[in-house]
Amino acid sequence: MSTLNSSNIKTLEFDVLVIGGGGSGMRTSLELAKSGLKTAVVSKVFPTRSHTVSAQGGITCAIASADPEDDWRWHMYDTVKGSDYIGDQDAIEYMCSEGPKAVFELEHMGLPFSRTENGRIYQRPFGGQSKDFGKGGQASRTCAAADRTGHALLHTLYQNNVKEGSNFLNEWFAVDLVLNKLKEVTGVVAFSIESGEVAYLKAQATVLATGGAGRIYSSTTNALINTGDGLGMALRAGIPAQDMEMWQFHPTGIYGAGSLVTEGCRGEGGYLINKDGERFMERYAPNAKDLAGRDVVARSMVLEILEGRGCGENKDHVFLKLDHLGADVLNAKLPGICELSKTFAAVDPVYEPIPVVPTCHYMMGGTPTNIHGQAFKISSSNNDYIPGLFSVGEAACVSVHGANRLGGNSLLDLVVFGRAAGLHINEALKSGGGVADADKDDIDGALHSLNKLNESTSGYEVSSVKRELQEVMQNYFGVFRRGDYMEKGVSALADIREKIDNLHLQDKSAAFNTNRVEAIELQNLFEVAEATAISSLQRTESRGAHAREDYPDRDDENWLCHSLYDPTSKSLGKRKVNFEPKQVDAFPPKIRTY
Amino acid sequence: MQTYKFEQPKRDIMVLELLNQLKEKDPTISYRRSCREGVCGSDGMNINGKNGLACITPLSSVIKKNKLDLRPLPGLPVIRDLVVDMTEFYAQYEKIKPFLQNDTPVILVKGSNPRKIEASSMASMNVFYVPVAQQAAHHFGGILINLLAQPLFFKPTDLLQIHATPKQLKDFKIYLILLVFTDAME
Repeated sequence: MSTLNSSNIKTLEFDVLVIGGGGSGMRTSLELAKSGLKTAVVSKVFPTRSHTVSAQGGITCAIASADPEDDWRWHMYDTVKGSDYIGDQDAIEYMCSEGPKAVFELEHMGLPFSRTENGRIYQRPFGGQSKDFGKGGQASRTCAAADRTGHALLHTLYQNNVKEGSNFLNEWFAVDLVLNKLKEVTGVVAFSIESGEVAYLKAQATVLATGGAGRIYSSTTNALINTGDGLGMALRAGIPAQDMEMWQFHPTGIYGAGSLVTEGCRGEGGYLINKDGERFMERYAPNAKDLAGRDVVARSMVLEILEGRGCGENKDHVFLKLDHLGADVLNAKLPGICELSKTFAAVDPVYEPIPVVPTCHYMMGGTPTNIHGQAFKISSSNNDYIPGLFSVGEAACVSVHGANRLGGNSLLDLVVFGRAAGLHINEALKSGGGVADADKDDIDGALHSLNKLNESTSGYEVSSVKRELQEVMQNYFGVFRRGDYMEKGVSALADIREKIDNLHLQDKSAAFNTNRVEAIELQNLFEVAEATAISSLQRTESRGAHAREDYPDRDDENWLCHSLYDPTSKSLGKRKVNFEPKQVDAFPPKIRTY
Repeated sequence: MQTYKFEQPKRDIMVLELLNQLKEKDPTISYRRSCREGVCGSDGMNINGKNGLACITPLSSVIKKNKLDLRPLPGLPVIRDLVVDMTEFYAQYEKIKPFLQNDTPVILVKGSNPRKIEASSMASMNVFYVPVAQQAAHHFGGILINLLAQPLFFKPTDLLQIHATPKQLKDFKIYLILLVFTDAME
């Protein structure tokens, strides 16, 4: 394979590129499908294989089905509190108030929600959801399609994209962003996984909808494809990442396998027990108990294990008890997790409890954006956006989840902001917005890492470096963190970088070369891991999902803000949180208990 | 056919895990995979003659006489190793118009702040919640709302959402029975 450059690769020109074909990417493309703008969804897998397909519990939204008095302002309060007060309140307000419209839209698109007797959408209780601004007890606000809501949502979105004639570049892998001399994003260089053909995909607007990066950890609920590709590309291009220390460890991942067992189980009445059969969450969160925020539940489980009350031979997990719900409820409302449990834990929840352990699940951090999905760069105000670049979904940090995400809010985030970005881009491009062309050397620069891999004749093996990376993250940057361990971790990562820069691509073939794909994914994983490690070390407080033994308290005086990681200097800055919603008064920070 | 030798692992693993282990030794083996929990469908393949998902097929259930045969899904052209060309499959999927076909359009009618009025048509379902008090009459400006379904219990502070058929909206024949109901309910 000869060295790739702007002259020997072809250029495909679009108005908009959506990188990633999951829930948020497909909602963006759906919005643009009718706009007349030439849009392409660039997805490294067939869109319905995207990780959105695994989402189980539901989409949280105040549609007032289960409770006719439910109010989006209560949902907003819950989300702000859940974020441990660094969620941007204008964005949260937007998401919660626009929510019902987005959910009814999905319903009309054909999403087969579970229904109540009177035909309304079924809503189940979920963690951190309350009535009357936390004063009225548990709320049932998460709209569900059994326990496979994400599956239903993703397929519904794909089907509607088919209906509207959206254009897909499936199994195309975007490698790096192309920026012009003005530092505007003008597209990506990408290759067809099937044929190996490389092209410059040129666009006036590039939307990163590439999802999360849970595969930086050894144990995760995430799919193998969650490798933070969009973030990797952004970080390599000098674009900052916000709140990267905030990783959610979902309380109930199946012990050993890592597969997710939805919070919906606890919503339907299941609860966690230790080796003594005690429902320990009664001690840690007397009111919400097992439906406290996920960060609270995960920490409680780890504490139980550390104090010797864990289950199993190695006392290294706890149990999720569901048998008291009865076979009928389990089969009707939680059929998916019954299957998962039998397959991966050899346990039938109708009879026995499921062994579970906190497992890396969701990336609250990401590319900082406003509610239109416009990405921000490092600047004196940190509020200047980068022309040509947008981000939506888990890859973005709007931020609606702050330091901890509530269950069901991710699916809502996808559709609300996917739509918002689509609307904005449509308007912006039609009123003359756009970017200048990139020069030949800009494109050549974006091909650098691909060329280096293709020309490698020796170096480190992809799978072993990946394992090394995952072990460092798992051991030093898990549920509980400590300064000295994290420093060891940061230093270990610095050593790994040398290997990342010198990977040996053993398979150099063109057609469906997964070795090449995995090598680039590893490079992306590394960027995300380093951003996570440095951000975690430097945020000297505990907040939301970021819990430190050496700084156990929340420090609003110094840290009531976002963290902003600058990849060019590998340093952490701060960025203001928005406390100016438009329709309601901001919710002031309070001590966070459940 | 390429043959690989492996030691049967002590604990039962899924076929996908085996493939991943083989790939560590031979990075040129190509197959699709993603969720590894049986929901995405990526790793469909033919395992000892039977089609299935590699990630939820335990090795113990398919090893026969110390042998395991892995082939790409039958009936589709092979791109490489266990990867088949799904183009034809996806084309057929589009042909059956795999989306909800509902010709009653969604109509969103916005009223003025602060009482947002949203109306959308759902073929057979007409639901609303609660009407608002006197002010609603002004915002409607004489537009009447037709109550077609069981009214839920009302409260003056709640949002009004009306669902009506397109014809009704088009004709703007909406009856303001709401306020009357409110009084009656209270």
